[in-house]
Amino acid sequence: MSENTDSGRSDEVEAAGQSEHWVRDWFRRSWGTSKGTGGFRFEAAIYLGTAAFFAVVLAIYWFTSYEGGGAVMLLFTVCLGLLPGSYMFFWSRRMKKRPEDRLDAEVDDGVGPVGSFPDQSVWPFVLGISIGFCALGLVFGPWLGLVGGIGAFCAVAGVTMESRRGGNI
Amino acid sequence: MTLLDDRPAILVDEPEHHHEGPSGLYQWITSTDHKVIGKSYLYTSIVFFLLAGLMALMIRTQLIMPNNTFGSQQTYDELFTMHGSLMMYLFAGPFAFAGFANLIIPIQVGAPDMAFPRLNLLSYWLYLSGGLILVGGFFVSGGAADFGWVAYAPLSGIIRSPGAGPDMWIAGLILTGFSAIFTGINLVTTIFYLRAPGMTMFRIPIFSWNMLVTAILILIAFPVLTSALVMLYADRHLGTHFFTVVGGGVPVLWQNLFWFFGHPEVYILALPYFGIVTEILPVFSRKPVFSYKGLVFATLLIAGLSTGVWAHHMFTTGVVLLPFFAGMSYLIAVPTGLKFFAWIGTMWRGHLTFETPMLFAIGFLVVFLLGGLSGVILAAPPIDFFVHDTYYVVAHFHEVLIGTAVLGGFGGFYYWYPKFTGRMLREPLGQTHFVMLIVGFLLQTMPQYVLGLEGMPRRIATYTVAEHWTTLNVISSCGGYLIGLSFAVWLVNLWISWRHPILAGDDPWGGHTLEWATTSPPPHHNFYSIPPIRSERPTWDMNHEEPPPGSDVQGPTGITVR
Amino acid sequence: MPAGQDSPTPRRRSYRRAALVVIVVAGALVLAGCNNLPTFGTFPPVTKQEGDAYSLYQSITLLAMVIGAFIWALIFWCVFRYRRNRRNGQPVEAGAVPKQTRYNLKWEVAYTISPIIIVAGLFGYTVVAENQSTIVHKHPAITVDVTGFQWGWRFDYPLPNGEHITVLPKGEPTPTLAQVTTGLPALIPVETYPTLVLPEGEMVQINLVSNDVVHGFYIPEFLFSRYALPGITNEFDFTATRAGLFTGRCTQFCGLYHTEMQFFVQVLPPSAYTAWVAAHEVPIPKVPLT
Repeated sequence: MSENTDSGRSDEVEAAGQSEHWVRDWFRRSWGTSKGTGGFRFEAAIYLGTAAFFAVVLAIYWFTSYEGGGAVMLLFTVCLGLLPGSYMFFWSRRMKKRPEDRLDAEVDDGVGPVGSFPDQSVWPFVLGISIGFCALGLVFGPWLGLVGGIGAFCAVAGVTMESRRGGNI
Repeated sequence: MTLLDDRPAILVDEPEHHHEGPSGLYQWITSTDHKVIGKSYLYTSIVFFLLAGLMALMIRTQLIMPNNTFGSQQTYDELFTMHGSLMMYLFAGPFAFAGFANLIIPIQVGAPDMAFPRLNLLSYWLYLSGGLILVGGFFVSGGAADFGWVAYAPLSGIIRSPGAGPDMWIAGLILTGFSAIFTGINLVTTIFYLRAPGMTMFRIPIFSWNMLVTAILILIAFPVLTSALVMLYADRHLGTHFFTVVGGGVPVLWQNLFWFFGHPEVYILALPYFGIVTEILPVFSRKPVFSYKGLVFATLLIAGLSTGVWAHHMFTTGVVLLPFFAGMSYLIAVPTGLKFFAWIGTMWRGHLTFETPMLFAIGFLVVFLLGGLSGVILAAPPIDFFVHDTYYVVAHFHEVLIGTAVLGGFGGFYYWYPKFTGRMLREPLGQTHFVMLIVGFLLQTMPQYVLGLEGMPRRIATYTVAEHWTTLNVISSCGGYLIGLSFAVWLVNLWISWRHPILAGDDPWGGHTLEWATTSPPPHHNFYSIPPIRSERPTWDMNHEEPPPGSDVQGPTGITVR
Repeated sequence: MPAGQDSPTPRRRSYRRAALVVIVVAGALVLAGCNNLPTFGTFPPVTKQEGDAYSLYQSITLLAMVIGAFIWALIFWCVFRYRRNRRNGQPVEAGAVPKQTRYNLKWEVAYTISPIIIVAGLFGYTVVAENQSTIVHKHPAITVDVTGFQWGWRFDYPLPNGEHITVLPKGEPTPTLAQVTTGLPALIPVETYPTLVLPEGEMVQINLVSNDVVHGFYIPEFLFSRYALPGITNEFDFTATRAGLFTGRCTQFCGLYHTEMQFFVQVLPPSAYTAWVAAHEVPIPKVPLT
């Protein structure tokens, strides 16, 4: 994820206030009904909706067929929806609406650095080709995998150093 | 609004380069700019497409007469395997979800680049090395993989498919699989985190919505393929018995795993092109897209249902639950029908003009309808029992895939070419390409339905005179050659546009979405300025009356919808 | 969501009426024509089990054709009626903008609901047909064990008296080495394909299995195919309703000589079948083919 460094676009953490009606407040915050939160609602809803949909499909599938393979794959699809979905849900109820979540946002609301976008880098090329050699090692023997592995190691090191230096931005 | 009639002006020199930096091969290799990567993807996948097309022509040549000996059976098996693999894994998918998505998505949502530029570049190089390994199978002893693009176990096991070719097929697909997963992550993140202010989720263009849903489908489907391939490799070389009866494995497990990837894959190939068509139709009808939220809903529903129908490819195995998969498959017809009516509603009472992209979009509607309806027929298990694995199915999926990936895809190519090169393609040549393509395609495909019903199985190398399949096969082959020729016309069009450029201008079509509000080709980080975003078509709003902030009011005579 | 539409003018109402008429006529056509429809390119089925599948195919194909024609008509109507350059016989000026309709809730609901109804009807019919096609009777008259192998078929008839009839491809089941090395497609002569002999009018249970890879047991004129899977035996019934000679093929790609993996199906009248059994009955033990 690119770093959102500017306050105008940042994910501001709202101190979670303790309240007696915490369940109600929790739902309000979750779906953006309370003021000042509820950015990111649809994004979370897409993943959670995916999870919910496949949970229903999984239930129907399992109780009509009792077939293991498909059920396991559907179960993992539910998990795939839940994992990012619950993360986004967690943040959506602690996060102000971003300019891109507001219908009336002006372009100026989003000024400031959006993120860091490295302009060019030779390492992805090296890494891609090295992994290609590793894959060829599966076919023609481990020595090719060794060649690819060394290349991949150099590339990962290279890209890490590049990031630490700030890269070619 | 710029019209085609006022535009032509021959350029004296090259279109301006807005981006400083290294040029030539080094830039192509190292640039993490999404436009450069997108173009690399686009042209690489088109090269694979032409290669697979040549294989298709060889297949059609082999089938043009009974008892033909154009190639040996072994060659024929390799050809249809690699034709399918190249088209499915290396062309139809990456052409849209990596090529067009990289080029267009960041601009459409108002982002400066993709969220992870270096990951993006890595996924291109994984894709290219995977593709080269896959094609390289032809150059090892024993030849390329020859078990069909679905690689059913135990035929794909080490005993019945020895040699390096099948292993290269597996290795290449693992690489392209990872490339697709990385692109999927990149797309989701870009659309979720990098939209321009005011670009709410219900204002991103339908193409971006479809790419988002495609990316989620990729995340669901491709890991299953990659794990299945690893299991297959382990079966072949590490002595495991996932798919062999001898060691207690279950061969049908491969089919379950493969189609759990394979059916979402079909929609990974289709949804982006639905998106492209949904971009083209409103622009050339001068209307907003009809039923925006309905289309979003339909896309999500198609994606969801498509992951629950994998075993409709396995009806004839006798070990799957027929009513569940038949019902789910039928249900997909509902959101797909919804899309059709939304497309027709978009054209309804518009001011239609028929530039090449619009021709391709309408061609897509006409052809995809045929494929869609035969798909509904195939969803009935008792019918599938007698057309499964025959040319009926071949005709069905070619109509679906050529309708989407070729008609939709090249419609998108004609539509966005001016944006990413700054030049126009020639209209007459584009129209010729379209007419030859669609005539050739219908000639090729419609006889195959009849052949299938008469009992011609797919993947047979030849047939005899006694079966009376000759005439239909000749028609089909001639249609195939016409498709081949139509792409020669397209190449000529590209060459002319390269040698004698016509300046496109920023907005040659009167586009609706953000990419038409920037220059052609777009500058580094895409925008000098972004117009205010008040609806899903900010460029239209900019060129017409701008609606007040905070509302979704649309256009001069539009209606208010919240 | 406001519809954003004016109240229907007489002309618009006439369009709707026309659409309604088209739908009603199409529906009537489907209902009336069910008994007497064309084959749409396929074969009238030989077996009793595929009767419903056949009529399902006929009606669904007709329905698809009607719906397809309707949607094509809508597409081409848009293309010809709403061309900008020829609108109402005269070109529209370049800057003019059509009405910017974005939603029309009534129509959206209508075109969502109607496919659901059609699909639900189809689903009901499909379940009936597939049950007829896949149901396995407990007491078949005859059982035949069919084994697919690279590249041929073996038909094994266990007889009531404990003996067997085994039918194998005659001659070489696979092409010669010379044919492989020259690379020419080696069409096995038709005479060598094995023949599955079935009695007319009696229920036959087929137990289908594969010896090596996945094969497809397909008889076009029976309107039926089923995979021969290694390790899993598939069972299904045939009750042939007329005598004749039919061809069968392998549909699932199974390796180099997939093309040659063909067989014949000979449906004989019961008396002729009995004679065939008597002529071929040989007391050989059932040995698994390796």
